Amino acid sequence: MKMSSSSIFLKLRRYNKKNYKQLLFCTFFSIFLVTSFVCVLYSPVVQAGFPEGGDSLKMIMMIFALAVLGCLIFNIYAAGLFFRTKSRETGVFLALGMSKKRLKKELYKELCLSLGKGIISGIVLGVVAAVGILWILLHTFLTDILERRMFSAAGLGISLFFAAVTVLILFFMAARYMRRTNLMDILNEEKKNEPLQLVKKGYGIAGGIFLVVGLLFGYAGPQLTANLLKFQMPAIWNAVYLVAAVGIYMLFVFFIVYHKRGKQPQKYYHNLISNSMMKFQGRQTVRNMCILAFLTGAALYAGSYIPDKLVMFRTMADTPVDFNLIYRQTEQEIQKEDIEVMADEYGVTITDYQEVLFAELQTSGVERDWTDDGKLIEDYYETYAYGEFISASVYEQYTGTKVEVEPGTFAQIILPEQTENFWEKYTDMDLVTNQETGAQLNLKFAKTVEDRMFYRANVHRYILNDSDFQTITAQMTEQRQMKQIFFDVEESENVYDFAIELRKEYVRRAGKDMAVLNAYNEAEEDRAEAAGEPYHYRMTEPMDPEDPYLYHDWKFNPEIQPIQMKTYLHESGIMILTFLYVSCICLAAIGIIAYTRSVTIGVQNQKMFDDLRKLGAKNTYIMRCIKNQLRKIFVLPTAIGLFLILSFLMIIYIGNDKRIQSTEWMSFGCTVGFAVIICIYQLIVYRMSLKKLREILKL
Amino acid sequence: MLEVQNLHKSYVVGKDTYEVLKGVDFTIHKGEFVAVMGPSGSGKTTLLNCISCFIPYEKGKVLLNGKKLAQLKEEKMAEIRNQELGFVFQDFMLLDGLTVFENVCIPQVIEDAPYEKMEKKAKKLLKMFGIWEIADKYPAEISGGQKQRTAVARALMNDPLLILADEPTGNLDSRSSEAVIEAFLAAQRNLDATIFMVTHDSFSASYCDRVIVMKDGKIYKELIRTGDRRTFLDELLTELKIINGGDGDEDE
Repeated sequence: MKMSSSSIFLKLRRYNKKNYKQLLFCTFFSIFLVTSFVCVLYSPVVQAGFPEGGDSLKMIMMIFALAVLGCLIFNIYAAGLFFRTKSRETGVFLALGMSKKRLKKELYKELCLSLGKGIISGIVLGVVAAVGILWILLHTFLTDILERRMFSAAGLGISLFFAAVTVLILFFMAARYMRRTNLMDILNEEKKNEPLQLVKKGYGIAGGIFLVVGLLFGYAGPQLTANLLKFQMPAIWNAVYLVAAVGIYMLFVFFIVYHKRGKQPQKYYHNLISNSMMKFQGRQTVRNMCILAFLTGAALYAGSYIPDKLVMFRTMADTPVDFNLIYRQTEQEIQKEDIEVMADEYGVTITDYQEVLFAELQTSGVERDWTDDGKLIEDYYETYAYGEFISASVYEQYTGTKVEVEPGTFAQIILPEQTENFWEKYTDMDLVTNQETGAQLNLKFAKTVEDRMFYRANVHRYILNDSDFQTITAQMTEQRQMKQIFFDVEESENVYDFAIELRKEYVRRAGKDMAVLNAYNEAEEDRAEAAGEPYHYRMTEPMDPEDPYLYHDWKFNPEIQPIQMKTYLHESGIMILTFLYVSCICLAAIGIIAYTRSVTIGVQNQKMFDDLRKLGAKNTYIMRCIKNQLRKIFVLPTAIGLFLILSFLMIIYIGNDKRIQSTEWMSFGCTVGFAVIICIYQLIVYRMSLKKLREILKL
Repeated sequence: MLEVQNLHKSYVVGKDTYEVLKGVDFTIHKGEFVAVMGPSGSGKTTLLNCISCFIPYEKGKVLLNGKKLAQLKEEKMAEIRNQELGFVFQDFMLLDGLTVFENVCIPQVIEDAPYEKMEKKAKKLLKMFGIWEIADKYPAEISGGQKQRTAVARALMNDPLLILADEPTGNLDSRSSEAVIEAFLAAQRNLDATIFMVTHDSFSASYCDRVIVMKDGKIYKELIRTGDRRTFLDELLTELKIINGGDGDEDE
């Protein structure tokens, strides 16, 4: 073959094909993950499953942003390793007189080739994977969704944008790599060390304190000042979390640099060489470990949503009644006979049908808000909201539970394990008013009663002493009586269709007074009207019986378990897949970065290992040195990343209601299980890295 | 041919600046085989790297056939490295993916030279240095001495004005070292090559026509070989012993 520079470059490319393949794989993998994810997320099918402006979508976007960052980081690392392994070749060509311009052209050509292949295959296979996922979704969770369009230009656009950013960053790195003027630096790039300065024991202790203080005060600080000092911390307080980040960095520096002979001299000498090797590449190692810890945390955090959703599903499946409808007595709503007729049509058998009346009374309460300068405002209103009341005897009649309520006191119906929160205290209510008669009754909070059947999410419900109830509700008309219908059905294949039809009929018959949003408060509307201010919690559009997502905002949404379960499955199925995906992206980034770092250790220390051999070190000793270093790279960031998120979740659980609910324990247990899976994954990557190092160092 | 005038070079480490070359002056003539010796840290390798413009320097001039190397533009410097300089490194710097023959050809491949002439030249050099038999082998398959002779052959591919060698025997045993030095001598003898070699090894340096001894960033002494190699070696060892305060840590 005629020898030319092109043929030489081609031969070198073939010889170093593993480096090119590695870069190609990383580019392909990141583009594939991002493309498939955004094509699924931005698909009209999936978008229809998310409530507009809802928290779920925001949370997914936030975690997805983290994962995209993870993808970019692992591309940067892969490119860094590629340039590093190429530096010797570049240095030799420069030393032998090849112009930088020509080398640059060659490098850009090679990058174009690798990136081009990676991007095209990543986008094509990403789209194919997205189609596969959407097909599965449409045939499992989303069988009855009206929207069937799979693609949106936005998804593909974002993936192209990500590809463009990747190309830009990698070409910027290539230009910087070629701009270097010191040829000796280029030739010795593979052996380049970045040592860290020595630190004392106090540095590590300070790092630990910073981590705990940053984490604890970042979350608990605003809660403490709000509760104790009635003062809201400004948003800048979130910067306290940075103290935790600094703490993590300091801890890593400490673990890498601090080694004293101390009380265990044997151990000190045992690890002397590997510790000193790590110290000399300390800066790169610590940077890597920080990124690994951050991505491990992100992977677990994204994964922790999955058990949360599953536990919620389990709770939903465990509702005390299958059908639960509430409306004002005066509404021309669906009645027992209508339900029975409809059930007959669908061949559904109704069991345990019951109706119960609640009296609607105005309740006093406290409106809380923060001023712009962080001070708490607490305004007491005699008619703060409308609550729904039942007498103790009627309550006992329906539930079989005897609730002792002394005259002049009340019991509030809550969910199991629910506690009061900062914005609404049980003791806020001390007066009730019959709006029709003007009668008032002073009351004192006595107790809470846990009851899932009679609990309403957006209206407070209370139990009164029988005589108090009689007195305050005397002469009350149907206008202020709320009727709750609840019943079960026997299992049959038509239950879901019956439920849908019932729900549609319920929506069709709902009057305009029922067309209000969740946050609607009649008392607040009255106040706004009196003050001549607009009030925004009435629906502006007529309610659509066909709209499956009406329940997100509707105050009178009927709780129909078969529908709720299916709708929840739609949404959470998509969300679970999304969070799982984000978690996978983070894990992929972790694997690639840790693997790359491990290989770099082998490449950089190759000469040192040869020298050790000359000094009589056996392969087992060299393996020990390697394992010792690898263990730190894998174990420390994993441990700190997992610890961070697990403790953060614990702080949130406790911060919510000052205790950990049984459902939270279940979620936490599953999250710990997921943390164990991450550890196993890291173990696999560790073993793969070790195998690769054995190959490189011929051990 | 090579003139080095008042060369100064410093390294900055953190807040400290270390002056490594403190005004070095010397000249090398066509066909000379010159070695630079001196204790560790005396600035030998830095001097070589400055001459080859691998690293920048603050003050002074390096003139190759009257051309100021530091003032040359990137393209021109590449041309000089390819045509007028040849490099031999301590750790060979061969490309592992290419055979011995291909490695030797690289300098002409870079300038897109006609292959017939290139192959002929490579073959001649390989034969001259006794490595023709391993022409098709890869660097991983040959010994250190063979690797370094390949590097020497590569350095001579374009008939450079000057060969710059950085500790070319540093990684070799005595037999291989001798073979490499023989290769340099053959190049000097047959091709009228000029060689500038940085070395720690007094034995290798004893083959040179002249030895520049450096200490603390300056030229301490220049020794010119007038008699036979053995006498020159003794002379070198005595001088190095004085520099090292009688420790005599230089290798023979």
